[in-house]
Parts: sequence; structure tokens; C-alpha cells
Amino acid sequence: MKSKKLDLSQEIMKTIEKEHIKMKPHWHFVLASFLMGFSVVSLISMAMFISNLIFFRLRVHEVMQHRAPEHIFLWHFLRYRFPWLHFLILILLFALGVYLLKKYEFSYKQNWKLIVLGLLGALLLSGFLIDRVGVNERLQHRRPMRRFYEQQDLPAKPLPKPAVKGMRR
Amino acid sequence: MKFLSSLSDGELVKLVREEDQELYAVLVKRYQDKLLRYAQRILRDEDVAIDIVQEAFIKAFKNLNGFNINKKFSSWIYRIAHNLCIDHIRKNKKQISLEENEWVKNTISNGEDIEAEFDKKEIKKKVDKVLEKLPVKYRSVLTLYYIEEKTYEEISDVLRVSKGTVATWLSRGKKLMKKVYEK
Repeated sequence: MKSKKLDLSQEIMKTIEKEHIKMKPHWHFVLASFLMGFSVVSLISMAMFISNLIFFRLRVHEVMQHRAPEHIFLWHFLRYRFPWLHFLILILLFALGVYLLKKYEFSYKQNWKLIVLGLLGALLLSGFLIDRVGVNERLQHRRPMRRFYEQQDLPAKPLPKPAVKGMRR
Repeated sequence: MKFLSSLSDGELVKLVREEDQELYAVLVKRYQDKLLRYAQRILRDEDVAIDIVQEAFIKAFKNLNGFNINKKFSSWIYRIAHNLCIDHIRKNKKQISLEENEWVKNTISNGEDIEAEFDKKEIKKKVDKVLEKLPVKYRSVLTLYYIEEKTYEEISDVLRVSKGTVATWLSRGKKLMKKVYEK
């Protein structure tokens, strides 16, 4: 076998010298690790906020108070009232967060499916709780967020008159 | 030189980083044969394997400051070489099968227990003959376990899959190997 007689060390050291290959400095890895951690935390925080906005939108449009799951109501709710854009952003942020988390060592040392499900559950629960403690109501009246919340409050389209007897708007 | 050979990989890495980059040659000498053997089994092309291993050592040198000396250097360098092998296979997908085909799936689903028939020593002898016919993931795991004699933990670090997955791939790989061998 050719490789048995091979000594790559000299060739590799020559290449390193000839092409002036340098080791990346230590700070490069510290910075990369910091940016990675920062990105994960930012993505998860944003996802928590978006999750909270979904619950907020559902609450302000009184969606949660409709008990009747009649198909007409459900159709109109999904078509006009459900915050699909927020939902898509949440999925995107969650996917990005999961993608970055996968780069960490624990992703293959621990039960990965459980971690992903746990993260999803935590995002939904934290979103629900943030909305329930009234964070949105407080932010709504503060300057940097006021305009943002004004846009959030606008219903996309009014629900049509209920077609099923007894159904509330 | 005798002093150097008594040093652990971690100590050598520290010396290369802080004192003398030329000592990297010692690390290369320590791992070149093992990595060449591994890359050859995965790629089935000696010349390409040599290129990949050289590339792996250069890449490792560039990133040496990012290596955590509390971890195993061998797993780290194997991981770099493995990734380069996979990248090469992906670029040349037509020539080497990366994934499972129908035959592989059917053989795996045929739940025979071959553990008793094929013990580790016996497999080691036969593994080379049949390895090249298997998909890359089974080829990698079988090579690391039987040829390179790595533990589940080390294989898990090289392939970045859980120890449970390593065990599953190993068991499926053995089934496949037996089928290929019987043909």
C-alpha cells in the first residue's frame, strides 16, 4: 500500500511554511463562540416575543372566547384573524434557533428530540405567560413600541355575521 | 525526540500553540497512518485519501487554537477528516453511494441477530472485504469500531451522533456486512 510508506508530515510542514499558513488567533474562536451564544439567545428571545404576540392577537380579537368550533367560524378565524405572519416568523426563528443549537456538543450527547420539543413547549408557554402578565398592555403605551402595537391591533377583516345560530362574534 | 513521544496529544498541542509550530509534525506523524487508513476505507481511492488527509491536517493546524485540550485530539482530527471525506463524497455523489438503497433497507429490516455468529475479531478480518459495498454511514461506523477500535463515545464525537445511534448503525452495519459476505 502506497500510504504505508508515506510520511505526510514533511510535506504538510512545507505547505504550511510555503503558503504562510497561520493558526487563527484564540480571540477568533472566543468571538465566534460569543456570537453563536448571542445569536441563540437573541433568536430564542425574539421567538418568545413573537409567541407572546400571537397569544396577544388572539386575545384582543377575543378568539379565545369563542366556544363554538363550528366550521364556518373556524374557516373565517383561520383566514382573517389568525396571525399567520407571526406564526411563520415564529417557525422561522425556531428553525434557526434549532439549527444553531445543533452545532453545540450537547445536541448529540443528550436526547435531541426532547430538547427540541422542550424548547417549543417553553416558547409557547413563555409567550402565553408574557401576554397574561400584561407586558403587551404596558409596552403598548410606551413610545418605541406604540406604533408597532397599533399595527398589531388592527383586525385584518371583520368576521362575517355568524351563519350558525347561537354563534357569538 | 524521546521526550516528545512521551507527551500526550494535549500537551503537544499546547507546545505547538505556545512554543514551536514545527512540533506539529509530531502530531501529524502520530495520526497520519490512522487517518489515511480511515479515509481510504471511506473514499476507496488512495490518492484522494492522501489529499483529504493533508487537507485535514492543514485545516486542523489553522484551527488549533480552537481545540479544547480537555477533549480528545484524536476524535477532533478524525472528525475533521471525516467531514472532508463526506464533503468530497457529496461533490462526487454519482460515484459513491452516500445513502441507503432498497437492498440496504430490506436487509436491515430482516431482523436477524448475528451477534453470536460474528464476534469482533472475526468481523475485523472480514470487514475489509465487504466494507466497500456498504453506504458511507455504515462504512464509517464499522471502520471506526472494528478497524480503529474506537469506543462508542469516541465514535459519537467523530460522527456527532448519539451513542444510541452509533449502536444502531453498528448493528445494522453488521447485518449488512453479513449479507454482503454471504453473497
